[in-house]
Amino acid sequence: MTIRRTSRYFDRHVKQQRPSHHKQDEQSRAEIPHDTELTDRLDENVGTIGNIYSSCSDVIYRHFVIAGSIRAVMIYIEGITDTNGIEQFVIAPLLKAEQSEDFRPDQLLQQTLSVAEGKAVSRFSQCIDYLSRGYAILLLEHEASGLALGMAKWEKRALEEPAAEVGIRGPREGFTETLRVNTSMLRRIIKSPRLKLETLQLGEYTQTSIVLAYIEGIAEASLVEEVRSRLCRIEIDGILESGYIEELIEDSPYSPFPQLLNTERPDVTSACLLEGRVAILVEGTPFVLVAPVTMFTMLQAAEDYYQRFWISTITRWLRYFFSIASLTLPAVYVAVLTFHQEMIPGSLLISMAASREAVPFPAFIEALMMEVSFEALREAGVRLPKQVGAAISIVGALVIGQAAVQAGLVSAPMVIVVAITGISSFMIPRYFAGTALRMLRFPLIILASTLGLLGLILGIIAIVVHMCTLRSFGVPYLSSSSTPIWSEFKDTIFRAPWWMMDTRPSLTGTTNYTRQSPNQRPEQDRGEQ
Amino acid sequence: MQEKGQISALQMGIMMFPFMLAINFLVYPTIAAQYAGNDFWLVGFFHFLFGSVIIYILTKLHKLYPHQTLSEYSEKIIGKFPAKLLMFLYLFYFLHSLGASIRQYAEFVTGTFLFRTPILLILISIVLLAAITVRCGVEVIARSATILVPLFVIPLTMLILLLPDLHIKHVMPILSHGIIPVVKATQWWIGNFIVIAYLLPYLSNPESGRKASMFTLTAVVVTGTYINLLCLMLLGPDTSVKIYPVHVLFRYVSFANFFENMEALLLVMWVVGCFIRVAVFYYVASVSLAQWLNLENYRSFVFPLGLLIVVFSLWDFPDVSAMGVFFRTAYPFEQLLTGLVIPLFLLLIALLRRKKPEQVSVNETNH
Repeated sequence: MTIRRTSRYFDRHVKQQRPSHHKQDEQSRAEIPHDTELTDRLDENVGTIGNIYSSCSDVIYRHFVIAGSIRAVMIYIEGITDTNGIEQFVIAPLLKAEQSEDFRPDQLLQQTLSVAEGKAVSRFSQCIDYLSRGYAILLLEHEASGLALGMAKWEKRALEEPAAEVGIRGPREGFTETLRVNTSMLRRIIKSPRLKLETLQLGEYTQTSIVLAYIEGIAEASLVEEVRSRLCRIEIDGILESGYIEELIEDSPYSPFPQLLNTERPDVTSACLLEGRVAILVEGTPFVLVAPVTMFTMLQAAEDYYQRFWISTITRWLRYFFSIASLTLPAVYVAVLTFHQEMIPGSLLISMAASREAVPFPAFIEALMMEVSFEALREAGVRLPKQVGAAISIVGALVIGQAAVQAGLVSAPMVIVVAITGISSFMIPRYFAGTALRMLRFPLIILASTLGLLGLILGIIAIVVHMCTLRSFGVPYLSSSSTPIWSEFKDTIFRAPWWMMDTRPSLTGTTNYTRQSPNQRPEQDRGEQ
Repeated sequence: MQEKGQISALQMGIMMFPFMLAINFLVYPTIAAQYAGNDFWLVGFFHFLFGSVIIYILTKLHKLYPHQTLSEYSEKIIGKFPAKLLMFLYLFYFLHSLGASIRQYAEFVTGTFLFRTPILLILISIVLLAAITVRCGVEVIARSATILVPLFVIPLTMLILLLPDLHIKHVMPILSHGIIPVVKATQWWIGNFIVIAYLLPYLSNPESGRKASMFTLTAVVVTGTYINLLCLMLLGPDTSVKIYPVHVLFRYVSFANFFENMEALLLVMWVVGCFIRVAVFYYVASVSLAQWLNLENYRSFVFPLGLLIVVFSLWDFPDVSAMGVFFRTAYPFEQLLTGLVIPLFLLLIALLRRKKPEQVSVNETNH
C-alpha cells in the first residue's frame, strides 16, 4: 500500500493545545475573561459580555422580567438568529409564566421553553462560542449558568445548478455556501450511518467550520488520519474558501497541477466517497475538496457514469487526446514551422507558406502573441461584468480572428491552432487542471522555438517526470498508467459498464475492495430461468 | 539499501525494453551487416541465447543474495578488497557506457537534425534531465519510463508502412558463409542487461524478476530482428555503408501521399529511448558509486556525477569515426567481460562457497 504515513505529526489534541500564532493576540485575549465562570450576578455577567462585544452594534440585549420578579436577559446577534422564534417560543412563554414555576435553567428547558436545541452554559467562552454560531443566550438573575438556545437562522442561497460543472444528464443541484445544507445533501444521497462527518473549527478569527466526510469501512483509516492530522496542523487567521486549505495540505506545494479535486456537485462527491476517498467541506464555499486524486480523476466528468459506456469511453479518449493537444499543439506547430518543414506534406506546406508570406514575425513570436492574447481574453471573460460580455466577445473574435489575419499580423493557420488549443483545454472537466496544462504550454513553446522537436520532447519528458514525482496523499498522481494494473483500466482508459466495475480503485479502496456482486450483466433470458 | 522506493517486475521489464534498444537499434545494423553480410538479421538468435544466460546468472545471484545489489554481494562473495577493485572496474564501465551513450545520442541529433547546435548543449540537456529524474529515485524512473514507452514503440510500428518496398530476395542466400560471421556480428550489447543486478533488489515481487527480464529479452530480440530485417530487405547490402540505416528507413516511408518523411518520429523515439537509457544507467552508476564508498544515500552524488559523464562523453572519442572503431573492435570484449564473464565467475564462487563453507579462503585465492 502506498499511503505515506506521517502519523508522527498526528495528534488528536493539537487543536486544543496549539499556541497562538500572534503574541499580541495572546495578550489581548488575556484581558477578556474568556474562560472564567459565569457568576450568579446578572449585571456582572451582562457587563462582561458587553465588554467582550464592545462596539458590536449587532449584538442585541433584551432585558425582561419573568413572572414579575426574576430579571432575565436575552442576548443574541441580529441577522444570524431567528428573532421571530425568540419572541414566540422563548420570551412569550417566559413572560406568561406563573410565579409558582421552577425557574432554574434546566427546568426551564424541560417545562417552559419550546425550543428544539438548548444547552446549559456556565463559562463565558461557551457563551461567545454559541453566540457567534447564531444561538441565543438566556441569562437569569441569581443563576451561575445560562442557556444557549438553538435559534440560528440566516439568509441562504437557493440550490442552483453548479456553474463550473455543467452536464446534460445528471442531478442539477450543486452545493451552496452553507455547510449544513451541503452535509444534508450528502446525507440525503448516502443514508448509511457509516457516512461520518467530523467537524472542526479552523481559523483564528473566522472560526470556520470544516467537515471531514468519509465512509467508515471504505476509506482507509490511515488516509482519514492523515487528512485529519494535516488539517489540524493549519494555523491561520481565516479561511474564506477551500482553496486556502488546498494549498495548506497538498503534497507538492510548488507543482502547477492541482492535487486535490474541487467540485460543486454532491453526486461527484458521493461517488468519490464511495470509492474510498475523503471529502473536505468548508463553510462559506460551494467548492468541496476531495483527496486523494489522480490525473485521471481530473479528466473524468460526472456524466461519464450516467450515459452509455461506449459513448463515455469514446468521449474519454477524445478528452485525453485533446488534453495532450492543449499542452503540445502550439509547440508542435512552432517546432515544425521553424525546424522541421519537411514533416509537412508538400501541398499543405505550399498553402501554409502562402498564408505566412505576409506575416512579419517568426512563428515563435506569432504563437506567443496569439496565446497570450487568448489567455487575456479568457481572463477578461471570467472577470467582466455580464453587461459588457457581448462587447468583449465581439472585440475578441474580431481582433484575434479576422482583423489580425487581414492585417497580416498573424497567419490563418496560427489562429486555427490557437483556437483548437483553447477549446481543447476547456474539454477538461476540471477547470483548474485545464489551466495547469494551458500554462505549461508556454515553456514548451519556448523550448520548441529554440531546440525544435528535440526541445519539445525534452520538455514533455520533464513534465512527465514531474507528474511521476507527484503524490496526492500518498497516491501517485499518474498511478494507473505509470504502474500498470489491468483492473484499473476499467475506469481510466475505458469506462467499463457498471456491471463490470465490481471493485473499487485499488489505490483508495483496498479496505473494502468489492463494490458490488459480480455477474450482474443483464441477459434477455435471465427472467425466464 | 539506497532507497525505500519499490517497483514492480512488470515496470522493470517495461523500463528495460527502451533501455536495451535505445542506442543499439540505430547503430548496430550497420556494424552487424559489415560482419555478416545478408545474414546479420540472425544475430537475434545469439542475443537471445546469451541474454538468457546473463539473466539466469543475475537472477540466480539475486536469489542467493536477496535485497542486495551487485556491489554488495560481490563483497560477500570475493571479499572486501577484491570486490572494491572489481566494483571500481564496474563504476568505470558504467560511466564509460553512459558517456558513449550520450555521445552517440548527441552525434545523431547534431548530425541529422540540429546541424549548427553545439554538441555540449545537447549533452548537458539530457544529462540534466536525467539527473533530476535519478534524484527522484527508481520509482520515478520506472513510472516515467512506463508512460514514455508508447512514444518509443509507436514510431517503430509506423515502419510497417514500408511493406510495399521490401524485397525478400535480399535475405537470400541464408548462411552462405556459415555461422561464424553471425557470431562476430552479435556485438554483445545484450551484456547491458547487467543493470538488472541493481534493479532486482528494489522489486516488490522479486520472484517475477526472471520472468519479466525474459519477457523483455524476447521483446528486445523480436524488435531487433524486426529492425534488422527491415534494413536488410529495404537496403540490402547497402546497410553496411549507412551510418544510421534506421534513419534511412524513416525517411523512405511514403504512404498515401500523407505519411512521408517521418524522421521526426525517429527523433521522438530516439530522445525518449535515450532518456530512459541514460536515466537507468545513471541511476545504476550513482548507486554503485555510493555503495563503493559505503554511503547511505546516492542522491548527493547525482549532479557531480553528471559533470563527469559529460566529460567522459567528450574524452571517450575524438570524433564519430573513432567511435565507430571502438564499437566494432573493443566494445564486444568490454560487454563480454562485464556482462557475462565476471557475473559467471561470481556465481560459480558463490555456489562453491555455499556448498563448502570451510573452503572459503581457497576459493578466494582461486579468483
